[in-house]
Amino acid sequence: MFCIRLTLTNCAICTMLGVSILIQGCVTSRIEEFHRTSSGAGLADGESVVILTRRDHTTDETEDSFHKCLHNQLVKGASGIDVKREDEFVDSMFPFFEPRLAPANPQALPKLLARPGVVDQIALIGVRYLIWIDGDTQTVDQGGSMSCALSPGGGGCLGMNWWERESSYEASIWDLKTAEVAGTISADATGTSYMPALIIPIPLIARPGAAACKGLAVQIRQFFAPKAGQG
Amino acid sequence: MGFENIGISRITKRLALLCVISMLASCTNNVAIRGTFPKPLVAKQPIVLGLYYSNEFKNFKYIRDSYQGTDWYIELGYPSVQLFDQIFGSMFESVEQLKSRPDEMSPALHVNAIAAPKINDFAMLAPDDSALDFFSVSFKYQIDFLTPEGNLIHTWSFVAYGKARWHFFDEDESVREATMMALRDAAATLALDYHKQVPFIDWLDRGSHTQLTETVSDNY
Repeated sequence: MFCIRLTLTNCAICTMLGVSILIQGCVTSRIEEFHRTSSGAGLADGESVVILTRRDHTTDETEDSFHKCLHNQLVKGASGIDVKREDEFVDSMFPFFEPRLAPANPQALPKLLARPGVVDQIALIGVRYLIWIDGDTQTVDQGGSMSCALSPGGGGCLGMNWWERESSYEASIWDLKTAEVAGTISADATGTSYMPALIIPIPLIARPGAAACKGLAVQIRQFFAPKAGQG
Repeated sequence: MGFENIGISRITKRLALLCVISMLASCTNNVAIRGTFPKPLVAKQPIVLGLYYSNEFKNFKYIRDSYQGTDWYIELGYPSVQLFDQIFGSMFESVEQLKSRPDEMSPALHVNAIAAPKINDFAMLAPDDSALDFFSVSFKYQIDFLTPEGNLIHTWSFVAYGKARWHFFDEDESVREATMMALRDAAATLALDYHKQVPFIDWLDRGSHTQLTETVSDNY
């Protein structure tokens, strides 16, 4: 009898988890994209890009998970882009992309490229574009209440919590050949997550960070897609 | 039934004791820093440099006893030796570790000059201290540049910083990352600011090292 009760409890938990996984796809996320191109861009054979995030000692850093998501989104598929790993690029260009020394703006690029050995090393690595990612995901609002209790006879929760998260990211694409900004792409997403609880809390999680990542990756792919008439 | 009660009670007591010991042991974090440094993209200097590491430098440790919170024990001598060996090894034609600090009685004539680094200070800011979600560390290094006879030419002091996100379940890794970032910052300073050490470079340019080299050659 105890075994049957345990099996039924496990089934109930699994069902609720499965429902919550299905329902989370229905949570609201909003993507806004702004794409400004100052000149055409394209990747020739053998050319690659590298995704960099600011890691200086004063500003908030973009999450590693976002960086990894963007990398995976850009490389996957038949039309994937050749993306070098950030740590390999930074090591190859040591010490010029260390947090304190990395060029803060495109105006610093010519000075960097004028240093002995830098242009040769970049040619050796094969990187044509730097994609600087700025931004993060933050909780902007939250509310609700939930109470949970546990006793020898059993336990559970009752109530509801909600929270709204906003993701705002910008990709600034620098062309190392021309030492200029090739384009800027922004992605903003908001999502509200809910956690109602009737005995067991059911998480309905919005993932604006993932939505912003996918939106940004789509735009970056289009940015580097071969233009009509080009080889 | 009586025997079963005694067995469960003993097991429970032993488990409780084990938990208490584990909790006490986890209050002190021993962190070993290990890593390598990339070769800097700078021109090699045509100098044979001697490196002298004092015992104080080689055995430098950071020990922090907190009244409330986590205690820290971080070994910093070994990674600092690695730092200077690897970076100066890339910047100069040749480097050689000296077993003792040279002086007038026992000069190191087989090198052009000597660098003797020191760690003047190491500081760490933990989330407990700052209510922020990252660890930050800083080194205060000092390098004494010496003649082969051990006379001071120039002293170079600088500070290196590192920061890393707080990993809730692995604070050791956070400290390790922050310290490696600070060591890389120190490596970057060594590579890029060496040319600003004018008194030392002037001493080398005045031909003193060339004369010493000739002296060494004559001895052979």
